[in-house]
Amino acid sequence: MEQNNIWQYLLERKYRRVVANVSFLGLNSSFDSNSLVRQLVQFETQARILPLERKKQQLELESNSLNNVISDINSLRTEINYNSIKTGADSLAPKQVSSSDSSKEFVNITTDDSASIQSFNFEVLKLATNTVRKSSSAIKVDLTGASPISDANFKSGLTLSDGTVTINGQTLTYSEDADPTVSDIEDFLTSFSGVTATYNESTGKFDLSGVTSLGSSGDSSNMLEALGLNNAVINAGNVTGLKNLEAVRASTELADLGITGTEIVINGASIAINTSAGGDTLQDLITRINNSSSVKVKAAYDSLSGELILSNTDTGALSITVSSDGDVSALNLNNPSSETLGSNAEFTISTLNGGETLVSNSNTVTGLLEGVTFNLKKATTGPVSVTINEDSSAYKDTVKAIVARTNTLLNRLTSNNNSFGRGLSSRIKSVLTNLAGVNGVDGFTSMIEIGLRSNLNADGKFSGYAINDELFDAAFSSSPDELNKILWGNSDDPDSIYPGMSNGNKGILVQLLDLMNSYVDPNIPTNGIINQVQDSISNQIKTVNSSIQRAEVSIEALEIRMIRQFAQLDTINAKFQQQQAAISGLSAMSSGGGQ
Amino acid sequence: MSAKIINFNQALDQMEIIDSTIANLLENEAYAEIIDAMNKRLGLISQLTKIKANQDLSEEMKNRLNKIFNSASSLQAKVKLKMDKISERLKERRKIKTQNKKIAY
Repeated sequence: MEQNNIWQYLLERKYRRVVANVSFLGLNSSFDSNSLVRQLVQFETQARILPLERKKQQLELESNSLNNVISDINSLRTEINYNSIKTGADSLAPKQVSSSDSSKEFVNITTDDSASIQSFNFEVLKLATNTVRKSSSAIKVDLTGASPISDANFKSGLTLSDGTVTINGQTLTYSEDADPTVSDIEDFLTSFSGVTATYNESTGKFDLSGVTSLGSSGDSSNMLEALGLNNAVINAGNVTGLKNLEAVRASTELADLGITGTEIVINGASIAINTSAGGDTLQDLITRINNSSSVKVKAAYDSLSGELILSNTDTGALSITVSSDGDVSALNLNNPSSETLGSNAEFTISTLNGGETLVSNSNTVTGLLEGVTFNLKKATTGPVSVTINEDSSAYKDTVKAIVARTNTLLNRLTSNNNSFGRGLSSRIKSVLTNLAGVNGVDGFTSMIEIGLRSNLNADGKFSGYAINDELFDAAFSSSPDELNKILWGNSDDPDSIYPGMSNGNKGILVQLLDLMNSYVDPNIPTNGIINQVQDSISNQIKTVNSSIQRAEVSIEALEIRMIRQFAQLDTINAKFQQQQAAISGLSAMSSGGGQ
Repeated sequence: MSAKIINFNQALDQMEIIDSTIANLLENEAYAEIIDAMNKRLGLISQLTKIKANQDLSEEMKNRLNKIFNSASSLQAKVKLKMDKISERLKERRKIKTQNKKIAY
């Protein structure tokens, strides 16, 4: 509440209360006691409560300012990011990869800090591929010419609708008999002029000859589509339907295929199966395989050809093994022709093995060059030149980002303009400019030498820090280890991956992080300095609130007392007025009587 | 104070006693008691009026009556002074207000 509003509120509240209670005042005399009491209470309020309200506002302002400081400190802690840097989760000095394959069409190369600065040529000769094992022949139920067409695809897999069928531009009407056979369909298709239709019992497909065109947009029967003829290629008048009418549907139960046992073992990993009547279907088996990570294959079913297809999830010449405690031969997976072995990747690195061919069963190649990972994507048409060097700008950008966050905090503390802010600001500046706590550094005697500069505003006052690119780049180039010691080094920390960077003392930025932690980290024993300050402010606000309450009670008591006293004084004054008039009358009467 | 009044002088005696009491009560800000005393004082004035109707006043009585009148005027002035003191307090508060404005946080 604005200070003026508080005053207005209190004034009006008191005014209403006074008027409500002392409306009888001032009736006995011409003395404006109502106004006097009201003003007195107003000024009492102004004198005693408003200073307390101002104090409370000031404390709340300080508390809000501290919350903003906490936010800035946490941003700075995040920016320093020491925990990730010391464990290597984030790179302190990342390497930079450049190659002639700038779009990474053939190979994507990534590095970590352990990679050496180097150059080489790289070629992808062949990518690694997956091993595929599939049914050597369809999973099927045999059909003959005498078989009812309703038995196709293991019962109810094929339904032919009545209507017109067009072949070679001739349209005939198909009208289904009660239970047409495969031969009936052969006869219908052969009734087209010049066309001979034959059901091939070895492939389960219809072969047609004498065909120049199949179908018409006006056809009303589904026959050509149902037999897989509409998508088939006509070759010299011959066409074969794509659909194997003997292939079972995915919804066929394993029991109906003659499969027995309780498990199927793929690549040594077992998958439970239910081969009882009403148990698992072929689709259930596929789903179980695909949901298992241990079998390391993915399964699919080609419903046109009736083939179950297993593909290794790993690349390379790795065979897929399939076995069972029962009989799974109906899946046709264990014939010699079932498997097509995957191949290993082949590539060359000019600086390894004399530039001769190297192989890998994966397209992700690691371990050949320390800290370098190759992700092969496509066979190259010639050598790709690769250069790995240090990304000095990333290192500097990291430090600059920390300095920027520090400046944000310092500016906040300056604008708050209180003793707490001045104290913290002073401590930050002390940490950032003092190399005394960093031992083992001989090449530099001050932060200025590595490029830390103080900015001054137009009034010549400190306005933040900046990194001088020239000095920082020179330090990074000439003495990177010393620079690391100054900024990060801490070999005491068992989690650090940079044990050689320091002789045991914390770097400047780690000291800064410790300082920030001491102010906000609730896990440190002192519970964070700012928390303590906030607790103190909170207690002060409580005390002020109590004082305000006491003052209000006191003012109300004063109000009541003054109302009563004024009423009494007013009455007394009136009585004196009345009685003096009477006495004066007595004197006049006696004077008159005497005369 | 409630003794029966026999003559004018006795009434004047009572009046002087009441006025003396009122003076003391005024010093102690015992306003409710003053109002009680004023009511009794009014009763005495009423009796004086009745006595006066049947009796001429001597010069001594007139002098005493004038003295009482003057004394009461003095008391009434003190009552008004009490109100003025509250006004003075008001002025003091104004000074405090001015001081508070100067407080820097």
